[in-house]
Amino acid sequence: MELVILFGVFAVLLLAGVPVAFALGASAIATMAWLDIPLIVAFQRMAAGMNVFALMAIPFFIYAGELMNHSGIAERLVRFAHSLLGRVRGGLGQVNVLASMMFGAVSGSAVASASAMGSALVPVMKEEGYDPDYSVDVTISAATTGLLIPPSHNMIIYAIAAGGLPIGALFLAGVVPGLMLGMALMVVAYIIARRRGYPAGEFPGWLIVAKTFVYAIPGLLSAVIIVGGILSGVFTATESSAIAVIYTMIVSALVYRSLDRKAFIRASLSAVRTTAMVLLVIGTAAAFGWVLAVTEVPLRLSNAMLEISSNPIVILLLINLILLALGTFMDMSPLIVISTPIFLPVAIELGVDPVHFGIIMILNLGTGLITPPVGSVLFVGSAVGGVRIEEAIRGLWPFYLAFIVMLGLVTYVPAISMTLPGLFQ
Amino acid sequence: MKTFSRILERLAGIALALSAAGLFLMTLTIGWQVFGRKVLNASPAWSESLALLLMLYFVLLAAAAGVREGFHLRFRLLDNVLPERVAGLLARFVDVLVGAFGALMVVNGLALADFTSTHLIPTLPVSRSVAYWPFVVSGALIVLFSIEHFLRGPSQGSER
Repeated sequence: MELVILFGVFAVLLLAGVPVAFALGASAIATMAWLDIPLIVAFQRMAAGMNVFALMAIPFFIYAGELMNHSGIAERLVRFAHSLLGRVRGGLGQVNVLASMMFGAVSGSAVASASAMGSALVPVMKEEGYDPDYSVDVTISAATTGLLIPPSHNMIIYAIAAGGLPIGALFLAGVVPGLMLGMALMVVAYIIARRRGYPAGEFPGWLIVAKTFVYAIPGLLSAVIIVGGILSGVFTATESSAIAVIYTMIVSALVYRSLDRKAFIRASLSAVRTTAMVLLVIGTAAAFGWVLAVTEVPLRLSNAMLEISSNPIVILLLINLILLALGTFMDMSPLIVISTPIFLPVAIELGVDPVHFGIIMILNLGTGLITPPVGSVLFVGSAVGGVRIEEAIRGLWPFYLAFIVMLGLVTYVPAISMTLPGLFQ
Repeated sequence: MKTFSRILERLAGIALALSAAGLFLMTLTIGWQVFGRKVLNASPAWSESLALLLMLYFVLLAAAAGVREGFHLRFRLLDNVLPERVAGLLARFVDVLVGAFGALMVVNGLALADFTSTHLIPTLPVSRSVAYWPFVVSGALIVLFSIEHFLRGPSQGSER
């Protein structure tokens, strides 16, 4: 009965249009009331859920992304990508993917990436005759590569939800799948561009490539700081992300001279909005997760799943399908918090490495960010690109296909994810 | 109603501004922690606790402002499908529910602050109840913003 209340209330509230964070909290509270648990526990869990040192990396990654977005660092990455790939047919699509991958390597937030690349590239793409829906489709699918390419704040949420996995190993495990996904998207973008006859730019010469690269270096260095700092053990993930924020402020204010007071305030306000959105959900999801644990849902569900089959191929397929379905209407961070304790024990039981499972989950739920009805990257990308959501999703299916193929590969070929972290152990 | 709205707009603005300042301070705090450990060879003991407190404050303040600005993630599928009257009623229901959650934040935040008022945070010279005050403030703001939204009706302002 308590499960019916928990999930039933949650589903009804979600459908009614209650924000996800409040729907999670309210359904946890309703279940607690039914179980005669004092409601104060819900708020205690909520506070405890947000009072985690490693979580601080999330606001820092978001902040760094917003600062880069508002100070023109994102634009410099675009210019560098453009000098390299602009000459290809439909080159701006290629530029978009490459620049998103670089931005993913410096920011760690797919939403920030979609808004940065969307505002920098979509207007240019439209001007040069690319269809608006294509421009937005490339932007939003490319933005999700940043989920896998380190740093990634969703990996931190997973590392915490999984009971404290090493963040460095997760970051490394995401590199190859992230690059592969980027390449797959480039192929898709190229095929569509040929079909639709998009123009090719001119190669500006190696001098320009070198010049734009030099301009992009200070931006790219922040990726080196974050990832290098964590892998070498010099900083914790939280510390290195804070250093990246300070570094970005200094570089954009003093080196690029592109961050004035106004841009700084805009970036800060934008960062607290996004952070509040993500962390409030994490807080109330902690209360929800506590109720799940008390009612032994993870245990019951994993037993039920293992009864269906003990074949890892079947179970992983099942988990992927469930997560894909959930991902279409729920955002990534609450899903990671809720579903990790449910599915991770099953995966471990079947011999799947928790780090590998994390990569599967991130890629899977990342697909959900660009699927309707609820997909934050889809929403942001469409808004920034000035395209209606219905329009944007019409031409998106070839990109979905790339995601599904990649998901299959990442799920069933552990070496794609696990080789790199293995080298560093 | 207009004055009420104007006051609340002010409050939301203040909450966001404080929140942004909190994020900036949190960045400096962790920066100082790294500087202390790497350069001064003395890690400040208070930096982690302070940064965590700042995070709780700025997240909850901005989250309250988010109720007014409507930036929290939600499911919008039914908005355009339902007849306008039903959608309006549903929007009112959402306001009531969010407001009730805010009220619970106030009540339980106060209770938690009361329970913990004599516990000290080991590395900071303040009581642990400091961590629960932002729940009270944020909850109160959420109640106010929900009341405003309820009174204004969904026709103006639900699509922000």
